[in-house]
Amino acid sequence: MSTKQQKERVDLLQGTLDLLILRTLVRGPAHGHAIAKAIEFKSDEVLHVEQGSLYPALHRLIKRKWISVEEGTSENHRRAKFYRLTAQGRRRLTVETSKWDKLAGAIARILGRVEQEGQS
Amino acid sequence: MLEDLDKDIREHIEAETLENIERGMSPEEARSPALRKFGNVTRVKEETREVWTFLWLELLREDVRFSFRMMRKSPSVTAIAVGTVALAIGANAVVFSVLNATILRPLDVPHPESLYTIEHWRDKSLALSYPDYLDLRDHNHSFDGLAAYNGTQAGLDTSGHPARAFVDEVTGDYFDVFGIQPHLGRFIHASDEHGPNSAPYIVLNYAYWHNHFQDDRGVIGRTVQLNKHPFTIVGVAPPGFHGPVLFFIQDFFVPIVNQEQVEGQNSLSKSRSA
Repeated sequence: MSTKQQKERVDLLQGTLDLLILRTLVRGPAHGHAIAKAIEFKSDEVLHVEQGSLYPALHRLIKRKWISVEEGTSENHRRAKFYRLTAQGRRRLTVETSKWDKLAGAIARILGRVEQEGQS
Repeated sequence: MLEDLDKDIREHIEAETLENIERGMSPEEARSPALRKFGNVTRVKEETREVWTFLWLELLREDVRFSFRMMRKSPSVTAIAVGTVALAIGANAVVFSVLNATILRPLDVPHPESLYTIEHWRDKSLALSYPDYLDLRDHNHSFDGLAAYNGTQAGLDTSGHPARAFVDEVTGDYFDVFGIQPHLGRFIHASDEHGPNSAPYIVLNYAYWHNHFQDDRGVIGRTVQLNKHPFTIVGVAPPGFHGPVLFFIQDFFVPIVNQEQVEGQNSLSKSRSA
């Protein structure tokens, strides 16, 4: 395997990839490979995301009109598709993020309690 | 959107490969980690297509519901449209069935292209007598064979219930001229003819055998009454064969030499027409 430090990898929960894509695009339009890199980098390479699974997710978001597609030139001067967050997508991201926070908080509280009980 | 998917995926993997090279891998070994990282390309394509397939179905359902709602709203327009389409389909079906019978499906015999009809008209009606036929047949040097037939009706009694049937009276070489083989039993041949009423044999049309005898293979050899004269069923013609006339479908064939029994009179010795 690779020589770099091995971290415990976590599979992504269903539906969270869509959220991560939307979050990534807040910084501006990006092409497929760049989105994959950004998610990988931001998550400190803990999340195990097959880069391919990005594509069904991107198309799902296009279909819901949360992102749009435009032609552009990538950093190595190639024509590529750029995905851009739409106003609708931005609103959606806000809603989904707060939902996620609630869910994560609730799960953390439950799991935390188990830990305390174990310690006592 | 989907038409570029292959290209998008290819370029994605290329970009990853380039990055691996920049990290110090050799160009040969850079590609396979890129592919591994991407995952199953075929599955990715399928899943991406699915996203749009279901959308297409959803849109279709909405369209259908909308059109039905509009049709209910204006029944008269709907009725006119449905009527127009129905008439058009009907007209097309008629034209097609005629074309299908006449042009698209030629006679189902071994060499339909070498069949010819000989006619003789007098006073605006067909006038070719049996003696005429015999003359033509005996002095024929142009064709392999010459057969004649005459469509008529007769009463057929198979089990105490006489019914009217369409009959083709045929000459002995009729089936041999067409070059076909019987579906069951045997055909009538020239060797069966020994003068008037010498060949009381019946060859059934396949469809008639199917409908009236329920495909009973035991009909061969059975004696039936044709206009109160005993005739023996000797064979069944092949499926689809009903002679050369498009819009006449006979129930069975009998030898023309038995015409007197079939019709109650005969025209076999009628004078020559020309």
